[in-house]
Amino acid sequence: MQNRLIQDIMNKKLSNRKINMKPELLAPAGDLARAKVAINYGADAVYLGGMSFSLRSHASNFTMDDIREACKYADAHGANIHVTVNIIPHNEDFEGLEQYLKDLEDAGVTAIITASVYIMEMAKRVAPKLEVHCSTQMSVTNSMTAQMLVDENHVDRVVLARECSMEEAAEITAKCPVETEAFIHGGMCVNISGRCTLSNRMTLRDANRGGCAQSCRWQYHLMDGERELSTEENLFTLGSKDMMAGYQIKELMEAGVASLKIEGRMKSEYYVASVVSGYRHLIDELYDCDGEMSDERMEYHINEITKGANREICPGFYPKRADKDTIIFHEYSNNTVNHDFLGTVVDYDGDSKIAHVQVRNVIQVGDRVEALMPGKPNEEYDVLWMKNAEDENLERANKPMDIITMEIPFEVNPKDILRRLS
Amino acid sequence: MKELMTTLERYEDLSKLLLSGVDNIVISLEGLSSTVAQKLSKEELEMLLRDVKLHNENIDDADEMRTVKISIRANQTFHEGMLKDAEAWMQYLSERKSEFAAILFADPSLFYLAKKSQMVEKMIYDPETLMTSINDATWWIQHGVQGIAISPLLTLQETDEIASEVEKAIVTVHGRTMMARSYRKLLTAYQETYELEDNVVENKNLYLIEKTRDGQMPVYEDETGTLIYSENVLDSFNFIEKILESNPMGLLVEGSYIPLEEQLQAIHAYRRILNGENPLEVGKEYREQFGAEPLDSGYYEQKTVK
Repeated sequence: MQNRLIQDIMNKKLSNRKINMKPELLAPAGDLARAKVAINYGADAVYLGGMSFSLRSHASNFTMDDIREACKYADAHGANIHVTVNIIPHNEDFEGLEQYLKDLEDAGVTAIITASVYIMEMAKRVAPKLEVHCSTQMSVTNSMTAQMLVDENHVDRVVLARECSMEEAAEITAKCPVETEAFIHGGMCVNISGRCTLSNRMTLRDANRGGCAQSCRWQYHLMDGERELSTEENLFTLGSKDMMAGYQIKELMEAGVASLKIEGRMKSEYYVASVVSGYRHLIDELYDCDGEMSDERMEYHINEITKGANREICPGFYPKRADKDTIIFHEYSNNTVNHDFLGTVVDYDGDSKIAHVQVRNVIQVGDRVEALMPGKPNEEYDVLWMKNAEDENLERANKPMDIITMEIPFEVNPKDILRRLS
Repeated sequence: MKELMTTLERYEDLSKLLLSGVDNIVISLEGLSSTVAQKLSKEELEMLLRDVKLHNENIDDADEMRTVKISIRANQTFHEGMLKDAEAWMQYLSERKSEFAAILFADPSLFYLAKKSQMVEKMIYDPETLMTSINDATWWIQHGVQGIAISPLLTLQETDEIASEVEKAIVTVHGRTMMARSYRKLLTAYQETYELEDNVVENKNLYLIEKTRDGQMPVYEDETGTLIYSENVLDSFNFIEKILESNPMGLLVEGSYIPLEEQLQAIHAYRRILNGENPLEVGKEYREQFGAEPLDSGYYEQKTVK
């Protein structure tokens, strides 16, 4: 009786909540090291690509041994592994697929992400323990498409198109018979996913099979008949700003979206750690306070999330149909380096407070540094001195991958990430 | 029978297309279609169906005129708020399904609605870029659709393999093909950013030229978003014999961004080939007439890489 009463109270308490479920935080990984970083920094699940059948052919994809190890690591940390099988396949691309799906199931993979109706059917047939998640390449922007995918393909999760507004995401989630997943961060195609062949035309690199040359970000003359509307200084481009939906997380949680996805399998360890850590803390705090977060706290979290950003950002389509404020109207390199990532901790002696640090970017005496530590709040310190491997004092450490020593006034652990604050 | 199909770009072109030798005219409708072609209202559709019926009734055996069917290009990606209108259209079309041949669709929500309206057999899956394999094509055929439209991004061999296997395939043989579609209003965004006074919405004279190239890619924006068409006009004269051997259900001549006369001549040329004339000779004549156009062979001989 008492148990039932407690349960009733719990149910009542739950039903009064605006946020009834803490969503999965789904992070990208281009290799095993980044998969582990993502899990360490709070991802509930990691998605990755195998050597075949996956988009992002330029990401350093995983061998089956890597996938097995990733699954073991994830399992040990209460996380899941999803594998992208998201090429738009040509006839030649099916060779070995059946065995591959069986191997993924045997490896302990939780789900595959795919856009091919045939691959969905095959996965259900040959590897029934694998969940099937329909890829964003299917451009699900309405609840009837979601329903069709459940009815005909028996998908276990519907990944919403990035073109969905918040209202649409909420309505589809409410009507969809299975859980939904929504993008919250990272690169955005300016065109509808899977429906752009600019790269194919310009470079013969197949965007739907992992070869996208990002020709949308090139520059174009815009002509009206014989008259040019653009100017040499301001040529037409189609590049989209990256998505940063930190301000929309609360609404996505209230809508009951089951998984919040970060894009970026080609991004660095630092990016993964920084962004995952930022969203982890935001989601946890929003859940704990049932969405009643002060503006000040929200700004703190947004600041943390965007420390890892190296491109211009926008909230995507969530607040409104993406307009001029979401387009980058200038030529830019996709290889922008974020110089805030200074290094990683190799080891630390708690008695002397001396750390060995692997250098990744220029560090100078006097730098204000923040340590990102899995499962702990970030902490800051000033670099008071540094020494190289020959025990010589350094004012400036500028050789990437060198091991240097420095004092860190609080406990850090191997692989913790150090970044510049100012 | 292999149907020769073409698109109706403007209502005023209908009378000439009816006499062009084409078997099937693909029309666009307001609220269902995302294309540069004129989107017909319900009233215009009814008028068109009456015109076509009249045309078909006036054909006698001695006449060289052909009976013409009408298909509908319903290729829009539907957002949640558009479903109500899409459902109303599908209900309306299901009540008149004897008057048209097929609905070419891209968004699976229309398949869902077609099931509900019991007209799956009218549906042709045409997702432009996504129909690239026998296996996916077969899946759709097994789920009752009338046919599939093969992506124009494939090699001749890949096209042939799919068409041969499924036997219910449409192959785009001629015209400009879709290069990219965006839900964003990209031209308006540019116009607003640089405060241009020019009209960029529903302006059919606009095109893009990549900074280091010469090709002119038509670009068009309307309420459905922004569309970019190929700089080249696909022609298949050198490959049509192989395509015909694979027994496709339909051959499509796209009319987007080509003048009506060129569209009519392309239809005439492919009709001659279907009637048994030598494709290479027909192609040569066509190219002599339209040599100034950026004709090319698409991806038939060019394999894209991953």
